[in-house]
Amino acid sequence: MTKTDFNDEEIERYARHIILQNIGIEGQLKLLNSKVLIVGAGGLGSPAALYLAAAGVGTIGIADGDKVDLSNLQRQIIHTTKDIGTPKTLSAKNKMKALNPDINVITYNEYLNASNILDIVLEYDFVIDGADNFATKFLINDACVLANKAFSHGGILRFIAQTMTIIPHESACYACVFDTPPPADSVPTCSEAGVLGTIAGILGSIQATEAIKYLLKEGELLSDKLLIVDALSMDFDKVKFKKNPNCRVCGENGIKKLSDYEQNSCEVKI
Amino acid sequence: MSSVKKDFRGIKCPVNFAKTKLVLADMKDGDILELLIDDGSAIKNLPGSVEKEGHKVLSRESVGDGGWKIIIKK
Repeated sequence: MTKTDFNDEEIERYARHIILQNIGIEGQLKLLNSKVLIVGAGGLGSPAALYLAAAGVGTIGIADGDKVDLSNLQRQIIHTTKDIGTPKTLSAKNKMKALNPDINVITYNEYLNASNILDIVLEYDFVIDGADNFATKFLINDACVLANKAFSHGGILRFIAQTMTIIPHESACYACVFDTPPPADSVPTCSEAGVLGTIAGILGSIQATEAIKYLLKEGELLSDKLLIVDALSMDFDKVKFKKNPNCRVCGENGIKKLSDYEQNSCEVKI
Repeated sequence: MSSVKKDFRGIKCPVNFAKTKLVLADMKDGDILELLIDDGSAIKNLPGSVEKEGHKVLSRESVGDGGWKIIIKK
C-alpha cells in the first residue's frame, strides 16, 4: 500500500474521512482494501449497503434471494418504486454503484444455507447480518464462528431494535446469548409483525458503523454487549454478556460443521 | 532536507486540508512545505488544522489577490 494511492477525485470524495485523525489517509486506504458481506438487502441491509458504499469499502458482497415488493419500500430505502419485481441484489448494486462507482459490488442472488454460506463468508473481512428470519441469523452466527469472521448481528421488530458485534472465540456469540431459535409459538404472527421504517435505518447505520470501526481497529465495539434501542422512548440500553464456555456453537465442544435450522412457516418477514 | 511547493488556491475546505495531509505524508520530518491557499475559510482554518496534526507553521504572508503563502515544517 502506497500512502498517496489516491487520485484527485478520491481525495475530494473521501476528504471528510481523510481529515479525521482516527481515519486519515491510512484508514481510508484500509477501507478501500476491505471486504464486507451484507446478508439481506432489506431494512437493515439498505442503509448499511449505502453507507458502506459511500465510505469507500472497496468490495461489498450482498446476498438476498428475494425480489423487490411494494410492501418493502416503507423501510428498504435502497430500492425504489421502479425496482418492484427486480432482484433485490441487483437493485441494491445499482444504487451502490451510482453512489460510488469506485467500489466493487458482488451480488449473490440466492438465499444462504448450510451448503453455500461458508465459502461466501470466507471471502470477506466482516459480515453484516441483515437477515429477516431466525434460521438465517443462527446460520450466519455458526458460519462466522467456523470461519472465524467478525460480524454484526441485528434484529428489528415493531419499535425495537437490537445489535451485537461478535468476534468469534473472543466475545459472546449469538448462540451464547440466545442459544437456539425461539419456538414457533413465541414468534410474532404476521399481524403482530409491524416495524417502524426508521428503526431499520437507525440499526442498519449502527451496524455499518461497527463494520467501519472493526476494519479500522478504532473505538470500542459492541462485543459482549447487546445494544437495545427503543424508538418510542428513544432509550439506548446496553446489556452485558460473556462468552459461554459451554456454548453449543463456539464453546469447547462447539459445532464442527454447518446444518440448516428449521424455518418457521409464518415467520416475521422484516 | 527538501522543500515542496503546492498551490491549493481555488480548492475548498476541507479538500485543501485533505490534500495537504497527503502531501505531508509523503515528506520526511523536517522537510518544508510552501503552500498557497485562499483567503477566508482556508487561511482561517488550515494552519490550525496542520498544527493539530503535529506540524509547525513557520510563517504566513499575504501574496495579494486574496491568496496566502504559508510555510509548514513537517
